Amino acid sequence: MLFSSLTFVVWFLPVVIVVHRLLPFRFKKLFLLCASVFFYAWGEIAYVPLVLVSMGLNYGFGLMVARGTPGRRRLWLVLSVLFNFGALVYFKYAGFFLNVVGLGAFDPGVTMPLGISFYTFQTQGYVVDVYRGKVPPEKNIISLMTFILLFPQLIAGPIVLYTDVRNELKVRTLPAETMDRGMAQFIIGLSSKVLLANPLGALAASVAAQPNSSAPAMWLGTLAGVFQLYFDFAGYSQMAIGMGNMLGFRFPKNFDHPLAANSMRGFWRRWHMTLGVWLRDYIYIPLGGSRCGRLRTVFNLFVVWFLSGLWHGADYNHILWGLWFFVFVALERGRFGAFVDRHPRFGFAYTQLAFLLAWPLFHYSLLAETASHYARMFTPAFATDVLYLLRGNAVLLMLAALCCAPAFLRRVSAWMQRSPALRVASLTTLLLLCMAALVNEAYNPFIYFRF
Amino acid sequence: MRTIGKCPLILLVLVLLAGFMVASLLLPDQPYSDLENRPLAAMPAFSLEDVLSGAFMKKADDYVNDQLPLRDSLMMLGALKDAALLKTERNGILHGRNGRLFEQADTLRPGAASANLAAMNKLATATGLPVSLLMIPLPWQVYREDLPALYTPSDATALVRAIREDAGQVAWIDPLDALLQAKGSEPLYYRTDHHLTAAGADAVYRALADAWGLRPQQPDSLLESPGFYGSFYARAPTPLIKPDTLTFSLYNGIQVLIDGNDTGGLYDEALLKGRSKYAALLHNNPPRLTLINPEGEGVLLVLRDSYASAMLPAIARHFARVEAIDPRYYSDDLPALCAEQKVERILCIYGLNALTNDRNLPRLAASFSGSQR
Repeated sequence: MLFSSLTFVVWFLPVVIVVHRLLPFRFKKLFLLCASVFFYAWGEIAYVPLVLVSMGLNYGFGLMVARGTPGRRRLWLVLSVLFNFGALVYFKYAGFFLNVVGLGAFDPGVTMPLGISFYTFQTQGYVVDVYRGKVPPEKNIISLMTFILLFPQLIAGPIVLYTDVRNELKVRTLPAETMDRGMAQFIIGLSSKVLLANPLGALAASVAAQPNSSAPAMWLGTLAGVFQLYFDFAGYSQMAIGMGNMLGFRFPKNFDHPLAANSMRGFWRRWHMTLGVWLRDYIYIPLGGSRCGRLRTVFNLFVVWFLSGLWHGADYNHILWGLWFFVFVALERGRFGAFVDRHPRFGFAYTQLAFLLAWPLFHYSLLAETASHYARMFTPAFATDVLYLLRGNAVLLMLAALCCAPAFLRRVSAWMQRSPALRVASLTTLLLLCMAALVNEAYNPFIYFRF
Repeated sequence: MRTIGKCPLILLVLVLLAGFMVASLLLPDQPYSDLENRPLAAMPAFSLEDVLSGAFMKKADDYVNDQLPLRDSLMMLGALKDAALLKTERNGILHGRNGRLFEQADTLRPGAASANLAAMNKLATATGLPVSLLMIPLPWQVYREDLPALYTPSDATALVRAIREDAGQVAWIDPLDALLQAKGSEPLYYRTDHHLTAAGADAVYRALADAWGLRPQQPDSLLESPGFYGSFYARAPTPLIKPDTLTFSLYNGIQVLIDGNDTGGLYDEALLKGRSKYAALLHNNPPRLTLINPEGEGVLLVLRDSYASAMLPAIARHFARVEAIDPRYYSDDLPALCAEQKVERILCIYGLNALTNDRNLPRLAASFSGSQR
């Protein structure tokens, strides 16, 4: 089930919120688990057994890595990695890897289970945390499964760690103010997705589909694509955080105005923050981080960005997408970084331009398509098509740009706080506008199917 | 009251959504959306097989979407939101000048055109009859000045020129110039629909008569029915566009048969009462329609899409019998029909859109294999 669907907004979400609020605490967790399995099954019923078996096994791994001799514990850890990443590799990467080595004929051709990239990182993070002694193993299998399958964060993040919600699984309160804030966050997230990302995505798609688009139109389309990516992804995370608040969970922040970042390092500290934290804690630091000399640090960064790219999509494009950022992040560790820090305007322009130029790599899955997109962006062919595109989308693009600016958002938030009536009226209007868009606007893609 | 003060938003939203839920449960399901001119999804029947394949969930999503209370009002709200954003395009429909809607036309491609022309040539060869193609232009080719400012459509002239190279032995009749010359106070195309008005159909009919050396006939009367919301409107309903008035040139003395049964007139009174009135003309594209005119001579076979409905009565004035076949729906034996009715001439009436998109004519032409006269 998609958050941006009327089934979810009109039926599933309100029913879950109300029933969860009314149930006695001892039933809340089981109810959430059932609701989450229902949510998952609605979109991908065929993989429900796989997901349940995976959760059951990780429950066992958690228990096993916590006891016995260090050798035995390590063995169980290795087994958990083999199982979790084995499943991820089989479902997500087998086709790509086999094609790379010329064995494409053996591609199993399986569809990827929804959210596997997200929950694999969660379950593995949990087992590693238990292995490291950071947290005791979860004895209650319902708690563990609820943590991983919790529907707000199941299919598109944020990547919630067990340490983030461990206490809330045991005891949590549902203050009225927090639930109210959660609903506001949900509506803002839904609006980001439905009112900004969808029409901007449609613009990007229509420019790309038009074979005669001029270079300026291609740049405008690419900009629209960047906005779509941000508002879609950040919108999903915001909805997840809002629903978490309505259900008594505090999920970690996932986006912090990255399109206002002044450096590439800053950008990635603010974009998909939970993935960054995961890669840092479970890959970069175990590899030695930045403590083992310059060359080793660069190598570690390379590994992390390679994996980050690969995580976003099993193809050359996404690997190059990750490595593109590796180049800038590595450069910024030297004098270039100091220069960028001294010149924030330059830093902003270069960071955002570099992110924009990477968009075709992210958007397509074939190198040829990406190359053709770049060729069209950089072929000096000028036409008036861009004027028409601007005429119909300038207001939307300006709104999108404003919604990326922290200063503007702070001001809006201050207005809302000063006038509760204005806050309620404007957020309810936004919800109705979202429903109006969902009822018959054709373009409403789910862009995380590759993740 | 204290609780309401603490969480006014969530309470209001939950009450609002509960209202939608209760209304969904209490209100009867609507089978058809008049506004969008399409059947609405019905409650899916529960079956384990459908649930396991995921089909049930997809149908249920469609059902929730289609049967949402206040759906029509929400669509209007969405259109107003887009208007406030100064957008000129919604669901592939362009909001042009003078209250005129258009289908987006910046990625026109030849598509199925060459297969369709090959099929027409095959018909000509197989039957030994003269085959003509009357190709109806797209509304924006005639009302280009009403396209949204700065909008650049595909080069239709180049497209048509490319398609025409495949014409072969098919006589190509292009009424674009006739339509451009006929432009005046009377609209030739509807503002909310892709079809020709009576005036537009008349101009096309005259171009055809001219090409065939016939003396054009005057209609006996004109049917007018206000409150017509066409196909463009149905795809992107908006409160900012006024409805059209449906017009239809009527000719006396023509009997209309469907499957051999007299329909009693040139149009369907019941369909005229709805919003999508064009369907009333010649009884909504039946697979086979027969027009009998005791004063005419000869038999004409028309292979057609819906554009033809507006001009078939005029054409029927010149023939004793017109057999109008819609290849999209016709599955009977066409060679047998041609032989039985002693068809003397074949006319294909296609809009540029159908010519480049519809792939049913080759299927029909294939039925002539081995049945050459």
